[in-house]
Amino acid sequence: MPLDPRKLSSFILILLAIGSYASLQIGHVKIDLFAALISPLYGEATPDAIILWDLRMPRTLMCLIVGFGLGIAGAGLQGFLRNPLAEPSVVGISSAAALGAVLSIGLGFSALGLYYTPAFSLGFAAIASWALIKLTSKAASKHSVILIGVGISSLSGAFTTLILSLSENPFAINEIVFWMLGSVTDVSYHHVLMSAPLVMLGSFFLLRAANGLDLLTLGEETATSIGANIPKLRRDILVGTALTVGSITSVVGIVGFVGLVTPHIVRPFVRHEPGKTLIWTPPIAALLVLISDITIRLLPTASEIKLGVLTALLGTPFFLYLVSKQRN
Amino acid sequence: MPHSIKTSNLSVTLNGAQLVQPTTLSVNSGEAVGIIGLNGAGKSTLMKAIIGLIPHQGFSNISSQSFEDRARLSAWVPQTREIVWDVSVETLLGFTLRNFRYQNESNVNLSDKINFSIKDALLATNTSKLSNRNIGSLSGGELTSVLIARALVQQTSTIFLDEPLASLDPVQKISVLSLIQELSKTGITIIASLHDVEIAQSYFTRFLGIKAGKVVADGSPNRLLSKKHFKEIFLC
Repeated sequence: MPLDPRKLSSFILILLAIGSYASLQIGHVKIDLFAALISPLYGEATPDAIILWDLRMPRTLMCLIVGFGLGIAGAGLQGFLRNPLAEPSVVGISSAAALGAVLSIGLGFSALGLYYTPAFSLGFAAIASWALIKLTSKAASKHSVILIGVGISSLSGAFTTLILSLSENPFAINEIVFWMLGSVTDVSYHHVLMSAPLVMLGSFFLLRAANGLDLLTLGEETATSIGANIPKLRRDILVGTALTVGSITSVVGIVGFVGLVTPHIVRPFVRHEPGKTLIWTPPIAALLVLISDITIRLLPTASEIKLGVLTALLGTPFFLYLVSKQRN
Repeated sequence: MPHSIKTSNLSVTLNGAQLVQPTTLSVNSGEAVGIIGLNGAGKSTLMKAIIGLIPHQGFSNISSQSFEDRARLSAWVPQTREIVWDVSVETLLGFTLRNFRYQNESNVNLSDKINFSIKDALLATNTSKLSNRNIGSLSGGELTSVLIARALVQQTSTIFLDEPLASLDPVQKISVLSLIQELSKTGITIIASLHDVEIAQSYFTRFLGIKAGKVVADGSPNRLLSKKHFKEIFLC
């Protein structure tokens, strides 16, 4: 059931605006949103303004960035690997990125400058992406792609836990939980500025691949015979995925299944075309992450559930459903 | 008659093993050539080398061109028919057409051009009624015909088909072979690797027999299926 692109984009923008408004409004403390929005104009630092501008605004922006980046990376990976089960956390790229970030912090590089941790993170994400693509290049089955990804994920997770366990940091266990489960709870504009440019750059590389992903529907040989430049396509996917996933993971930890679920929601509306799925997934994924984060704030728990926990709780049954659907 | 395909000492070596021995051959425009031989003889490898889908040594008039020019000379119909995304037939054909730029067609709306060429291709392959069907709902024979339609949309002078009759029932095989023969009569050069030599022989003008990467026989289907050549190609 394809929809008119203009109507679809207007509808999505409206939903994003509503979601962002809700994210700024909803929290443990009730605030006067309008007053808080305009108070900086009067030079006032009211409690409502501090809550809005220092806590909820960066958190909302971070949700949008996380959703956008993980959504486009997921759609790109699914299109390139021609595997509807692929997404950064399932195939180990997120775990490798987390390992990179932990190494940067553990070795002290993070204290040297703003971009050391994202650089380590995206470097390790790039290595994992390259390893995945290399190991699956010889017509591996869908399930073997996932198995290889599980291997990369397990190895990265094991090293991450080892590094944190050996660290002198008395809060090492908390750190492990943070990196493994993903959270936007305490983000600041610093984190937004660290990740946003890299997510934009990564998205540029991934969007360049849209036409190539359509051609890949026919298989690599046919795509090549039509004139697709597969090595260039591979580079764009690898660089784009590393930049988006690496930068996001370096600031919020591992947030899984966003990139898995969202393309499946989008596909029926774009006639299953991989190129259009790549274009429309990011805003929908951003909306889903916003909704997830709002849900976390509304849940009556003693402390906030991590974003990565909620996405895993919702995403894992969906993943299992996809696996069983494929086997049938 | 102009040559559609010309190779000179074309060979393929992988990990020290020579999968295709130096091969020099030419195929005229409009010929329908069947490449026959045992499994692993090098049929598909030879075709892929001619088009430039795999690394090779020697010369082929197609693979020596740029990516874009190769795509204008030859189209490929693969053996593996797994199409992951359940797109419609029309969408699948549209992917090919959208990839080519119409630099001299500034007065023609691109979507009109896409629809025109897709309609032609579906008509030529008797698959017009499948236009709005999703790929996943097609039978083996229907999918093969649709993939040939996709190759036609590329508007090339030569179409390579890798095991086009694989996994088809006898009726579907005859249907695909008849289609191939009809296309050949319109002047398109057809190169196809085949296992079903008996059923295919009356639909092709020439057979190439390959054994262990070497062309051991080249001639009419009747001649190559004679006892002498059959032993040469198929027996150790």
